[in-house]
Amino acid sequence: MNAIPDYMTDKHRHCDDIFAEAEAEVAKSNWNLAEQKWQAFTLELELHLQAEEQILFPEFEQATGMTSGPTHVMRMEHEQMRGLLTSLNKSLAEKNSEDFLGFSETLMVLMQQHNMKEEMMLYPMCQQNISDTEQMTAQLKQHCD
Amino acid sequence: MNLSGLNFSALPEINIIFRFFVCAVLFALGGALLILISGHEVWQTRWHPNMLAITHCFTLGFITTVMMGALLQILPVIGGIGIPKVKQVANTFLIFHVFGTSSLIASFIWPISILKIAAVILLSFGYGIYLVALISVLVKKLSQGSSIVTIRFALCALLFTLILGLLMLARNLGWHIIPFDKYVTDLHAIWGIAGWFSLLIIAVSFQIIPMFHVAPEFNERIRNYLPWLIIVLLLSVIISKGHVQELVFLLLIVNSLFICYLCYLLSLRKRKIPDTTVNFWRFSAVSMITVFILYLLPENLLMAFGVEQPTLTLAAMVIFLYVISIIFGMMLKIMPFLSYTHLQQRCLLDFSLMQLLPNMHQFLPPKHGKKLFYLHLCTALVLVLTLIFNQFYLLLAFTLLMEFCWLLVLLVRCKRLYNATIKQIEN
Repeated sequence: MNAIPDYMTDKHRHCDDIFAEAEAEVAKSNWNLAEQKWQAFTLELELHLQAEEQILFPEFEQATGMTSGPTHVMRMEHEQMRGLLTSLNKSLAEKNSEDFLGFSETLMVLMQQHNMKEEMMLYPMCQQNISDTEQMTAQLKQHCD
Repeated sequence: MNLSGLNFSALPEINIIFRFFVCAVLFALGGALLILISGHEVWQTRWHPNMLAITHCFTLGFITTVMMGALLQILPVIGGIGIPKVKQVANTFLIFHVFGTSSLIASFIWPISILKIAAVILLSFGYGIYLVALISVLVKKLSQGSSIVTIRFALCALLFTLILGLLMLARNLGWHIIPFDKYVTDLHAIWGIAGWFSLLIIAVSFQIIPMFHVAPEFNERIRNYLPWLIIVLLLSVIISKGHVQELVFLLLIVNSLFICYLCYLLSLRKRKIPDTTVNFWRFSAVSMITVFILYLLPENLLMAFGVEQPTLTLAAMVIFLYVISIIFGMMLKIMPFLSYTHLQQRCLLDFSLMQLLPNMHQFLPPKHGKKLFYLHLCTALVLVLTLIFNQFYLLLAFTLLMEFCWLLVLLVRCKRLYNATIKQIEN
């Protein structure tokens, strides 16, 4: 898996898996397990967002000269996700499943839409414009795994 | 790759989409009122003028209005590009469409020339403007191949359905461009239901099933070949006049397999939390399979069960139990999603404002969605009863009014919360 789109898409799916597991545990009011799954998800998500913001996007911006284009929008959406994580952490701490599921639905839809833009447009653009994609994928792996 | 072609913020104003949805619900309420005042005799033949009016309240009035509104939102999300001057195009189309469809419905009840002429002119202009705008986008090379290809086919089907409809109206005005033939009406209905409705449902499903439910992607072969298979079958209906029944049978098989496969994917979804939309999908699957089984039964057996108008019964079941069920399920997702997405755009310059945003369940509480599902089940049951025992039509009108009034309440409630949040953000 040396191509950027393959590796990053795979990470998206992995995040979805843990997110769905955490959500299911909240729905069943298994709070301890939900807490564990949720911590695993937030760590995984944060590493993924950091890998993009600190490694992938700067390289793409340097290669294309586009600093206020798609990467700018993606960074803003990352901040929106982080904002929702705060609300979700609060609901989890209060063991408020109704609020949690309302915010998790919101985050899930936001993430899916965001992922779609990255997978369909941004990652293929990165693959096409970044000169050493194997080296880039290795750097991303090193950060996330 | 054309980097400038990317458009991440081509979403049309939320007011436009809500306007489409509200107009759609008003058409459905109009249909319910027509059922109320038309008496039981309209259920004895699909050719009764009031039955034609009622049918168009739900097909052109409700379903098509929702779909045309949703397309404005779907294209920027899945194609990465929106239609140019979306506000002007959408508003102009909606005005022409609402008055054109109203004239058409009225012309079935009062067959006077002025109404028919108004319908021909208004619908031609309205759809002409919208379709030209859409085609100008869809001819470009866009991302999300299979969905975009299927949307293109769906729009071709809409265009063909419209042209046939307008030609039939023209014929009623004395312009004999096409002969009077039941076959032309069947063609109009088949292309409308199996082409426009079902192809657009398929196109959108390819995207929203993985996106909203975190389910596996549709099989690549299905994504690539299913739309082609349907369009080939639809084209075959045009050229093989003597084999319409067999081709409708094949179209029913294809749609039944599609919806069963979709439910199978939903069963594999990662998000195993209660979700009314999934219930709507499952109900539509059961409905489609029921229609398929009924279609296989010989006419005399159907008669024995009290189904005296098989074509009317099956068409009503496909439209209301299959298509409208799916549309309701999608609306339950789209309304809160749109509201949240648009509010989010307002917070891009100041993320601290995000804490003011309601979550998706506050826009549309799950228990309200569940109530819509139960109302829909109730209406579906009464519809089947009315198709067999026509005297139930008053109860059908009542349940329809209840169901669509509730949908209107959900729309208004969602929009009011949106407006209240905007006020808070602006203060």
